[in-house]
Amino acid sequence: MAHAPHPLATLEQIVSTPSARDGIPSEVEDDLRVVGCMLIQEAGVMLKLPQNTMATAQVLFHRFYYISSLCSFGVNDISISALFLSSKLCETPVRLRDLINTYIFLLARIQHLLTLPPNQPFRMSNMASASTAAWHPSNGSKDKGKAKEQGPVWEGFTFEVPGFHDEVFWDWKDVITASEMQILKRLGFNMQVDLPYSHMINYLKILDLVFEDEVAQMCWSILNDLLLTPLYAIHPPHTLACASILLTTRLLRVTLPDRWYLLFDVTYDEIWSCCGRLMVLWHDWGMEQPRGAITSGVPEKEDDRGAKETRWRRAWVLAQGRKAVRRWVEEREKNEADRA
Amino acid sequence: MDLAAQENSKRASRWIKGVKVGEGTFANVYKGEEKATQRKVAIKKIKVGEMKDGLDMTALREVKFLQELQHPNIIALLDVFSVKQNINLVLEFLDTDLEAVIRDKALIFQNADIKSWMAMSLRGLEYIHRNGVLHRDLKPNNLLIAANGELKIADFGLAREFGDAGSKMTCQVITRWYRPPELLYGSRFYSTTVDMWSMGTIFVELILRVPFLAGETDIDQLKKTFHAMGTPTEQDWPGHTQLPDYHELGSYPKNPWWNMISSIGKEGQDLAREMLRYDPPTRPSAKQALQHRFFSSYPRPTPPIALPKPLAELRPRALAPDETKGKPFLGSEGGSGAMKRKAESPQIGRNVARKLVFA
Repeated sequence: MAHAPHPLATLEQIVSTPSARDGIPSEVEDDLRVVGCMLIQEAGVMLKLPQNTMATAQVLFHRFYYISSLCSFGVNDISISALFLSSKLCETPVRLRDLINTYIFLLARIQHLLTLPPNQPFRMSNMASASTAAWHPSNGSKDKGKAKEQGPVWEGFTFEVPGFHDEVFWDWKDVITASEMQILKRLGFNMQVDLPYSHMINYLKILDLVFEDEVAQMCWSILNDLLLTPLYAIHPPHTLACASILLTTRLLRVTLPDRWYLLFDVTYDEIWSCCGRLMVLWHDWGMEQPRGAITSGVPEKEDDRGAKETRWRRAWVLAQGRKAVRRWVEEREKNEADRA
Repeated sequence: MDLAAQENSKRASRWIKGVKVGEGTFANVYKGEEKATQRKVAIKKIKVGEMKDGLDMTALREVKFLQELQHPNIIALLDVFSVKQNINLVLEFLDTDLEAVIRDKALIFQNADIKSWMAMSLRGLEYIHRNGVLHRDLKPNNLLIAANGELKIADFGLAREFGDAGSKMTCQVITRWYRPPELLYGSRFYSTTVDMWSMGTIFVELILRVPFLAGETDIDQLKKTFHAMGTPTEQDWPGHTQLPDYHELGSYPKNPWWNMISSIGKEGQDLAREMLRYDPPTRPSAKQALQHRFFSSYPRPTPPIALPKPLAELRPRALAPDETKGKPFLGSEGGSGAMKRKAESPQIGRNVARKLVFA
C-alpha cells in the first residue's frame, strides 16, 4: 500500500469541511481548532514532551477534522487522544494517568474562566497566547497538589488531583481508547507526519541566517503558532518553513535576496497567504501585538477585547463536546429561521 | 455512514478471513485471501480491547514502518482496516522462516545458499537503514521465506527511527542471542550497527546450524560472547568500560573462533569477523557488507527459487515476542496452538540441543 509521506487535505475537503457541511461556520471551526491545539501544546509543555510530539499531535488533530465533523467528535476528546497517540508514535510515551491529570487541570482552568462575569476582561498574563513572544504555558507543572495561580483572574481557582480510583480517570481512559482508535481508523492508519522544523533550519543555513540574532528562534515560534491553524494539513512542510522565514524576516526587518523563496520551490502567494493566516490568528487569539508589527503601539480597544473574549468563551464551551456543538448549531439555525 | 467509515468497510470487504493459524496476547493471525484474485494473505488481527493503555506501541510501529518501507526483501503490508475495536493488518503470505529452514536437519546448505540468504537479508536491511529505521529484532525467526524462496524481513514491532542522534533509546531490544554486547552493557545511544551484529550472528548460525551465542541470561550472553571471541580490550573496543552496565566478567583468551566456520571460506570468515567486531563503529554498514568480496567471489549465490526449503507441512507464521508476552505456552491442539516466541526464553518449545560445544 503506497502512501504519500505526508498526506494533505484535498481541495474539496478544504473548501467544504465535514463540519461546514454540518452547518458550522468556518470561523467557529477555526476557533475550535485553535482551542484543541492549544490544549495539546499546553499539556505537552506540562508533561515535558518534546515539541515534535506536540506538533505531530496537532497535525493529526487538524487532519482528523478534515475527515470528521465537529458535530460528531468533541474537540477535547480528540485533542487529548491525538496527544496520547503521538506520544506513542514519537517514542516519547507518557503515562495515561499523567496525561489525564494534566488535561483535567487545564480544563478546570478553562471552566474557571468561564465562570467569570462575561463582561469583565480576563487580563491574564499567563494564559497560553498565540504570539511570537513565545508560549506562556501555565507556569510549569502546577498540577501536583493544590495549584493556585497568580493574578486576579485566578482568584478562587483551586485544583485537586483526582484520586487513584476516581471515576473520572476511568471515564477519560475509555474516551481516549475509543477516540484513539477513531483517529487511526479515520485517517486510514496513515500516521506519517513530516514537520517543517528541520527544513526551516536547513533553509536558514542556506540563507546564512542561522546565527543571526533571534531569527531561528522566531521562525521556530512561528512554526509553533502555525500549528494552531489548519495550514499543516494544507501545505507541505517546506512551504510552512518558508512562510516562517518570510514572516520573521519581515518582522525583524532582515533583508533577503530578491525572490529567495524560488530556491525552495515555493511561490510568494503561497507563503504570504500562510503568513496572512497566522496574522489573523494573532489578531484573534493573541494577548499582545507581535513585535515589529506595524500596528504595534496602538493599544487594543476595550470593546474589541470584549468581543474577542466572547469568542474565546464560545470556543471553550463548544470544545467540551459534540453535544454542545450540535445544540449551538440548532439554536443558530432556529434563530436564523426566526429572523427570516 | 460517512466517507471514512465507507472507505474502511470497502477495505475490509476486499479480504476473506480464513482459519486462525496463531494466537498471542496482542494479536491473532489468520490465513486469508483476496476476494478478487484468491491471492493468499496473512491477516494479523490486533486485539485492542484487552490492552492496558489503548493501542499497543508495537502495533503502531509495525503499521507505521511497514507503510513506509517497500522493498522485495521486506514483508509487504497490503492493507489495514478495522472491525469494531480491532485493527487488522493484511500482510503478504509467507510459507516459512529462516529458523525453520536452519532447524530442518533434512536440509543441506551449500555455501552458495548461505550467501543467497545473507545477500537478501542485507539488501532488505540496507534499505531499512537507508530510510532511517532500525529494525532492532533481527533473528532467523523474523526472516520469512516466500514460496519462491525470496527472503523477507518481518516484524517491525521493535523498530524505530534513528534520525535524531541525541535521542536516548532503550537497550532492552533484540532477542538476546542476537543482541550485541554494547546493548548488553546498557548503551542507550546506538545506531545501525546493532542490526549488523545480529546479521553477523545469523550468518554464523547459518553455517553452524545452531545459534552461535545462546546465552541463558544477559550476563551469560556476555560470557558466552567473550568465551567464544575473547574478552574485549580497550584496544578492541575503546571506551566500553564506561558503559552504564559495564561489569568485569573475567578474561577469556582470544581464540581464532572463525576456524569454526572455515567451511564458508576465507571471504566468508572475513565478513563474519567484520560484522562481529566489538567496537560498534568498526562494523561494516549493510551497504559495505554487500560490497564485501564474499558476495562477488565464487560460488555465486543460489537463485532464490533453488534454495533448500523444508518439505514438512507449512508452518504458521510465528508471532512476535511482544505479541505473546506473558502468555503461557499453549500445548498445540491439532497442531495449530500458539507458538511461544518470547524473547526472554527462546529455548521453550524447541527440541534441539542449543548449547554450543567448543571443541
